[in-house]
Amino acid sequence: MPTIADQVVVIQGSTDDRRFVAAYGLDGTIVAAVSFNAGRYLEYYERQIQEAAAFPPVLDAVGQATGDDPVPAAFPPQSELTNRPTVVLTGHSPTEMRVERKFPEE
Amino acid sequence: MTETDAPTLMDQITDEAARANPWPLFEQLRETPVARQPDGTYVVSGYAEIVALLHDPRVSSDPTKRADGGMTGGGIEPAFINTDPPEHDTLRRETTSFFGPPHRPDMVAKLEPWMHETVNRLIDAFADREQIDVVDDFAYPFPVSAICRILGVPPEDEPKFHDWSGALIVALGLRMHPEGHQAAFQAALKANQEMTDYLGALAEAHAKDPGDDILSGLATDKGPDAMHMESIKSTARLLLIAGHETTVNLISNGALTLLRHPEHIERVRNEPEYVIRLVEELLRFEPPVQMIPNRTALEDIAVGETTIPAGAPITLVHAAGNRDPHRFADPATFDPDRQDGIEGQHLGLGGGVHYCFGAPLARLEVQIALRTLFRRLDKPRLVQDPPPYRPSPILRGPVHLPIAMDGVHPA
Repeated sequence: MPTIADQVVVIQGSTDDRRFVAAYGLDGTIVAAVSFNAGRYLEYYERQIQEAAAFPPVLDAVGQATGDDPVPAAFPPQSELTNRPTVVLTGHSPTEMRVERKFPEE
Repeated sequence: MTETDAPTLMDQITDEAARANPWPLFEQLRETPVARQPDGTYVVSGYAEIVALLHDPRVSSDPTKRADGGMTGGGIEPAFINTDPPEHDTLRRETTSFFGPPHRPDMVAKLEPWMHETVNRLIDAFADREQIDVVDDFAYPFPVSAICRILGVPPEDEPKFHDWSGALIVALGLRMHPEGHQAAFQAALKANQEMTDYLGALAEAHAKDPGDDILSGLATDKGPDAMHMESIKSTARLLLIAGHETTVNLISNGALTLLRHPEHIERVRNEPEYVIRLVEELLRFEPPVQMIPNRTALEDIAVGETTIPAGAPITLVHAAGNRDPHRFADPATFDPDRQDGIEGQHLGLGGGVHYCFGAPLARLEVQIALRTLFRRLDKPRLVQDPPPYRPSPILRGPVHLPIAMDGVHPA
């Protein structure tokens, strides 16, 4: 099973200021964003995720982060089947958003 | 616009003649939700497009980011409405710390008894009159007293702000077509300077003898976000103007809307919580801030079928988005019971990081003002419809709203 995301980068603000947006990428596509004290910008990243935009995001933004390179996201590898259901995107176009819920065999 | 060009749709919208009823023009405007103007400004009128840009980090509120250099502020420090994160966040957080939670959770709520008292005192004075002007006699004095009290301006100085604020708003309304209005811009610069000097002197007085108002808080703070004097002055100036020119119009627009739709008056009288929904619908249906002309694209932004180029000025027309039939069913109907708008999804208080700073204060003021006014007036009715309007296409509301009534009920 693939991991959720392989890289993360602070794209707006900074963790030192305790106000930031961090974007997560998987194989060069943005897959998630997390904000801390900056929730009003999340809608923008929601759309970026829906459109499967490129990661790391390149943008000229207000409160632009310092431009550090993405670092490994360090999610634990999901190499073994678990009892948790896993959602897998299928289909050809990421905008079709068809999902299948797969339950591993006991 | 030159003399040979036909007036554009935006020319018609900004023309004073459209002020009483801009809605048919906004409907035409929405046919092109993102429309490039001859001067290179992009006017955005669709609900979805406005919301997308309000949350887009590539949209700036800093006027110096414009490709054409933008408007100058007369050498006065920008207030947080015209800044971007991270400066914006620091200035706004510092101001909030003296206005609301977590540091002052009861700043607005504790004013409620004073608000009832003030509103009732204004209405008591109507007892012997057959006709009043809702704007001059009610909608103006109440929020102005409130903002002065919260900010720390002594009541005897309130009249000074009437003229200063008025001059600034006239200039704001003209900035889309500044040609030939040099006198108005000079008057605005002078008012700006006088108001800023006054607020500086007041901040220094409060620093020596502080109260529990915002200006005293800003002037005495020694914390990491403490502002220097120039920022304190521009912040106080912003709060005063915003407190003068928005809530006044929301109360006046509300009284006008209720008198045009009198079936709602009985419910305001009888159902204590009805006015909460009514004010939200009012913010959708007749928002006092019709458009936000101060945004700039930092890079090329694709929105809908259009790409707004980097450096282009953007005007967000909230009033048009509020009546977008793709978002609100039957948008031209005033319906406080609507299920698709009462969750605060209207654009009447803006959105994104610049969402209205004074929203909790404005909501409480207008709820108390409208409920008390319509509970106490006996058979109120419009004398003139439409009433005369203020000239500004940005901050829209009647300049006078004469109404007649048979009397005043006791408080």
